[in-house]
This record gives sequence, C-alpha cells and structure tokens, in this order.
Amino acid sequence: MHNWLPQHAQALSLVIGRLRAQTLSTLLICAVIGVTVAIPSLMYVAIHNVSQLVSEVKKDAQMSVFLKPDIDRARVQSLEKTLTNHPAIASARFVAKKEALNQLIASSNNPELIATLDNNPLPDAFFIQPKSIEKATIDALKTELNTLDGVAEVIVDSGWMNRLNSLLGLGQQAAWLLGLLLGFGLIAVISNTIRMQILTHKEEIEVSRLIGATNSFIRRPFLYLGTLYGMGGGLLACCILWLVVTLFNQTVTQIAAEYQSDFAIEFALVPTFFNIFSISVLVGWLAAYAAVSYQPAQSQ
Amino acid sequence: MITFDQVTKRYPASGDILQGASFSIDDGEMVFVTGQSGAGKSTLLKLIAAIERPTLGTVLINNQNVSQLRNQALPFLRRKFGLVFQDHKLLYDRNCFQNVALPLSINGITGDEAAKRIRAALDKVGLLNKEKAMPITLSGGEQQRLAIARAVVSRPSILIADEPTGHLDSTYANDIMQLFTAFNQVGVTVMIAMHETSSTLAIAHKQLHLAQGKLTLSEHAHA
Repeated sequence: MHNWLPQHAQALSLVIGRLRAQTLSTLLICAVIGVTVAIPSLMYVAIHNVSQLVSEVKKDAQMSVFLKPDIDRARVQSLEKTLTNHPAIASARFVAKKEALNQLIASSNNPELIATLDNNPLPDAFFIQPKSIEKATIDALKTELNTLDGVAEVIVDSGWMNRLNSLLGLGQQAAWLLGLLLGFGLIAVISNTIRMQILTHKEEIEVSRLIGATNSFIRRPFLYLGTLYGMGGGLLACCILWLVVTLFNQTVTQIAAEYQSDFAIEFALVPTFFNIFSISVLVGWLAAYAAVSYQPAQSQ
Repeated sequence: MITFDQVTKRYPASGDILQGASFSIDDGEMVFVTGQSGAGKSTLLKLIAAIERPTLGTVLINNQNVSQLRNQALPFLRRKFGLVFQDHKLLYDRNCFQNVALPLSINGITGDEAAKRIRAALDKVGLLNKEKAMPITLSGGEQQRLAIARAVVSRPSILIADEPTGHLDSTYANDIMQLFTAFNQVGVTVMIAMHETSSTLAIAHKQLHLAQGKLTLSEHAHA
C-alpha cells in the first residue's frame, strides 16, 4: 500500500515526459477533444440563453378576457371584483369598448376609416396579468374564466411563446443527443490513439510482464494518458466556449440595443467550465480504460 | 527450492516438448540446462518463471504450486526471479539507468533507494560509467551485462538465464559466466540454459540435459 503513491507519481511523470516528447500529436488530440466538446456546449449555452430570453418575455404575458356585448354594468363590476380577488391573478385592468375604440383610432394609420363604422365592433374587456406563467396554470385559469357568466372569450397572448418554448426544449434534447453521439465518437478516437500508444510500447509491456508487472502497473500510464488528454481537451473546450461567446456578444449586444434591451449571452462561468472539464476528463479516462481493457488481456 | 514432479508440457503444434520431468533444485545451487536447439530448455525455464504453465504435473517454487496460481498472483511470483533473456529484451528508448530501474519501479522502489541499487547493479556488471548511455550504443557483451544488471537489481533469490552467451564471442561469454558464478557465490540460485558443447559446464552443481522431451539429471562432484 505504501508503494501506491510513488507508483502513481512515477506513471504520471512517465506520461508527462512522453506527452512532452510528442507535443504536436498531443496538441492535435487535445484540439479534437476541445472542439468536439465545445460544439454541444455552445449549442447548450445558446439554447439556454434563448430560453432565458423567452422566459423574460413570458413574464409580461397577459390574458385578454372579452365580455359579451350585452353585459350590464353591474355584472362588469362583479367580474372585476372576482378577477382582482382571484388568487392566480396578479392584476386585472378593465378597458371599456369605447376606450378600446379610441385606442384603436389613436394607434391606427387610417383613423378616418374606423370613424366611418356605424357601431363599435370592439367588446368590453379585462386584461389580466397572471401570477404564474406556467402553461398548466394558465390553461386552468383560462378554462375557469371561460365559465364565468358574461365572459365571451379568453385569449392567452403568449401562445406563440409556448410553441417557441417547445421548440427550444426540442433543441435542448438535440444538444444532449449531439453531445452523447460526439462523446461516443470521442471515446472511439481517443481509445484508438491510446491503442496506438500501447502498440508503440508493446516491447516494454512484454518485458514488464515478464519481470513481474501487474495489469494495474501496465495500465496505469495509459489511463493517465487518457485523463491528461481529457484535461487538455477540456481546458481547450472552455477556452473555445469563452472566446466564441465573447465574440458573439459584441454583435448580440449591438442588436439587442436596437430593441432597447440589454440582452447578452451569459452562462455561469465556474459551473459550466467545471462540467465541461469533468466531462472531458471522464471521456478521456473511459476511452483509455476501453483501450487498456482490451489490450493487456491479450497476453498473461 | 524448485521442484518438478512429472511435468509434461505439450504444445498443440509441436507435441510434447517436455515429458514427465522430475527434479529438484536447492537454494543456492548453480544449474545448467543443456540440450540441442528446440530440446525444450527455454520451455523448462519458462515453466519455472511461470511464463508457461505445465500441461501435466506439478511445479513447486518454494513449496508454492505454480499450476494452481491465479493469473493475478503470477506477477508477484515472477518478482522472485531475475530473468536474463538471450535477446536481452532491453528497452532501446531508455538509457542504461532507466532500463535497470524498471524492475524496481514495478516493485514500487523509487527515489534515492532505487538510484543506490541501480548504481550498485551497474557497478557489479562493470557498466557504472555508462548509466546515461543508450543500449543501442553498447556492444553485445555490454548489452547482456546490462540485462544481468536489470535481472539482479531487485535482489532475486533465483536468477534464470536463457542462453545468455549465445550471441557472444568466447571472451565476452567468459565474462558473463564469471558474473553468474559471482552471484551464485553470494547465495543466489542460478539456472542457465545453454548448448551442451559449452566448456563452462564444469562450474555447475547440477546439469539437466534435455533430449527429445526427456530429461536426465547429473550432479557434479565438486558441489
């Protein structure tokens, strides 16, 4: 047991020496890992940011409760009381049909045309700000409001956002799937590289076996090799992510400013980098383990 | 102590290389295994070093039955031996010092203790001044001496050499044999496989002669 630490230190130092001796191929394999890990990471960060943006917009989502044309004043007051006291409603604002028409004329490019109408076609309406923007809550509230006496129709103005949200969910799943596929691809590439290394050191392995090396002793440097590849690739992936987000943000903030928004692509730096780094290291180790599990078992 | 009891080794392609071999070697003995090429000398040494397993019979190393050892236990048995191969099996991408360091690193011996032992082993074989040299730059005799240094650095109780002088001229061969004799004189059991024509057989305590799979044992009087 007291030999454990020196043997690990020795294996690590041996591998670092070998990596230094093959700087170019080491950098290339790290670049392959870095770029491959960075692609789904970027996709994930992008989708996460668009989801955040949609969530922000959804907070302003409102419901329009249109009343029946023949509704009387007392019923409107009763409805206003019901809506303002409803636990799921943050605020309710009544807009009489006359006021709605005036707003339409004011905002229209052709007010004369609207003025020619014999009757006001617009209904009285309540504009509601729900407390929750969860789809289930909104749907339940919509159903409940539709049953109220005097209500003609309830429209949820954030329907398109829900559809966009579903698409984003699909995108998120695609990012995970892409990440998984690329992960398997990476394991195959690193595993093959390490198998090549094993073949290069075939004589050393053979001699070591003959003079009493255990499987662990033989496998250890290659497991370190995979782990170090993963670490290098992980660091590179973090750099790529940071660089791409920084470059994109220069344009994104300009576009956002055009819409009076301070939106910028953001991600939690430490947890994201930690996850990327951990995944890369894990992939490197798994690939090395797959390679050594096959190779040393061939001869005893 | 090494004991063979009715050991047979059979290869599917070449049949019985060894047939019912029985002998025992005490600690500190010097034994030569002789026979023509292909007689089974290397196979016998491989059976002792647990590189091969017997088809039939029992091989005991210090009362440990090699045939019944699990694969995981084999490396630990092999560490008891110092192995010298006819083709040296040196690592040509490492210098002399690093080659000799290999068995020690397998045993978990590193640092100053390892360096001390490596230099002592290189000194013993007369290569202390070449610790930084790459094996490819050494002569055949020096390479064999380096292989012996690697075999003895972890202080094995049994030294096994497979035709260690096979590729060497007589001057180098005598040097190598003197080295083995020196190790034997400090209590190391030495087993050497070589052609029967060798003139150095007289220094052995025992001779195991192999011919057509059959083994004959002869004990030398000076022992």
